[in-house]
Amino acid sequence: MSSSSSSSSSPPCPKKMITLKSSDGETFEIEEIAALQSKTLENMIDENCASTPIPLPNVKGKILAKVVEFCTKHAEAGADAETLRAWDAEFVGVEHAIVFDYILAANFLEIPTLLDLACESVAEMIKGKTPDEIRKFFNINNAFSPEEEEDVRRQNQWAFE
Amino acid sequence: MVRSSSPRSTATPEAATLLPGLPNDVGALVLSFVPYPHQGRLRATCKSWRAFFSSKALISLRHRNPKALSHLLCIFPQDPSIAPPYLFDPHSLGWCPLPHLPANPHVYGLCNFASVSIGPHLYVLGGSHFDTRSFPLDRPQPSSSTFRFNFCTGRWDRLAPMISPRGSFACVAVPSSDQILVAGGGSRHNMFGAAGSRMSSVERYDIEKDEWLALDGLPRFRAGCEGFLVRSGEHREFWVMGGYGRSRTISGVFPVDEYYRDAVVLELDDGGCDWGKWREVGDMWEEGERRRLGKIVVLDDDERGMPGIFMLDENDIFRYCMTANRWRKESSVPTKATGNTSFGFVALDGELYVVTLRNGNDLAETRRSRPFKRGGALFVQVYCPRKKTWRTLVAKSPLHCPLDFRNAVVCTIHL
Repeated sequence: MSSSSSSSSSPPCPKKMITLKSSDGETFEIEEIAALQSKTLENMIDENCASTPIPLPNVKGKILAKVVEFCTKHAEAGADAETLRAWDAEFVGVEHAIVFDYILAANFLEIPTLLDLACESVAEMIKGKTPDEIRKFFNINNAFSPEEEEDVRRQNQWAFE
Repeated sequence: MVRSSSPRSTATPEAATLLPGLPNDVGALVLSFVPYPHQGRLRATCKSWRAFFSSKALISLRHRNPKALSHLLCIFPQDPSIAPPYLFDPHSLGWCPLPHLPANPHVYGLCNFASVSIGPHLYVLGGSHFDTRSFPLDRPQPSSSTFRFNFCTGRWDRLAPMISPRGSFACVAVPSSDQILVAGGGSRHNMFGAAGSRMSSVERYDIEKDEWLALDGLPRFRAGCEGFLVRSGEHREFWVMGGYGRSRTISGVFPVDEYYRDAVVLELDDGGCDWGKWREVGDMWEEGERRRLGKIVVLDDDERGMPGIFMLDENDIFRYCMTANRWRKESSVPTKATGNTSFGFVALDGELYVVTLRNGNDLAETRRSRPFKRGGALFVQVYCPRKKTWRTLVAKSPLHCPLDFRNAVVCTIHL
């Protein structure tokens, strides 16, 4: 990854850890290498603000724990693409409310891999459903009148088997 | 990143939420991952979704993230002003008809045109047709028309015509500099197996300025040639291969085309001012090895850094070796083409698609035997060059007209 802090050019030495503090006061430790996947954290590390615990008021403890797990897993060397993909699929195979929390956390911390993964999984949930099911599932207000809705439906030309 | 400084022209001026629980910019990112064929259906969910799925913001979001794009097949069964072109999605086996090309009452029977896509736009160029204003009436004329289909407006726009009308020409899109290049061509029409003119002129279309410019012509005139773009690093080249030039007659009666066995290459300059000359690459095969070039597609193989250039010759796929200037056999199509059938050949999502139509007589379900029946099934054999494996896809075809891949034009588009 990038040339981070001035101190670390030490490969075999004990890994440098960063401490993160969630909104509800829990603290989590994460390897600096794993933390670099977050652009927000990377900037902080570059500016040498990473010596004290970093407060993340937007992220709850439960979610932060999972985000740390994600970053650590993706920072592992020698993981082959297939197993990583399977692990990712399991990671987002949770309730959509939790995936929304992942999205918000990844957006705040600027972690492109997690953001793409979580957004894609929500899109997967969406693509298989009818508009009615989507409205119920995501609690969206239907602002169409029945005639308008029929009109829009008729405009769609895609036919599937 | 989503939070960055890009000006967000969210298509929700009423500030209606896309996904409750997420800020709109993130909600837009989520929706941008929905594959293109499903977007139409989801417009009916609510007003903000309808606005979003018709917006330009969606298109630019998707094109910023190549993983999100749907790679679709576009099939032109016949003259596109008569038979509508269809989009086909091999992942969801979905079909979508596109509007007909605007009909010109004076011309009919368009064939041998070229179709390319750049970004979310589809272009149809040239071709050979009959013009009722011409004399004599039954001689096909080459066309210089250029059309673009805009997926936002859902309409075909007529663009500046080519300088020299042509059909059966080599055509490439150069997305990085927003240009289209055409080379060679002629006036031959599918109704006649022979005759027709041949040309050597080469032109460049500048999309932003909507104008055509003549470039250095080919060393020899050729029609029916294949063209493709080769990108390796910073380097870009326009290759034109094969085609026919002269013809000779057998027994003084039957005309037979003399097919070229060589290729010519033009190096492309980014600046667009200093265009080079054509470089000749010698014959690619020995006399008698094959009669003519098959359809060619290019896969941008990023892993090895070298683009893969593949040709379908009857039932075999060959790969071009640039250093040796030879075609090496890569694989054979598992289910061969029988006498009447022919294959379409495209590159989609890093794989090679060999496409044919099986009409209802092949399927056990129907017993009617009308000559042109609606439907039939699209039978696709997909080859993955990386793993060297084949797989098949079958999809019922909604086309109303017969589909013959000798005459149909196919291309792909990212939406």
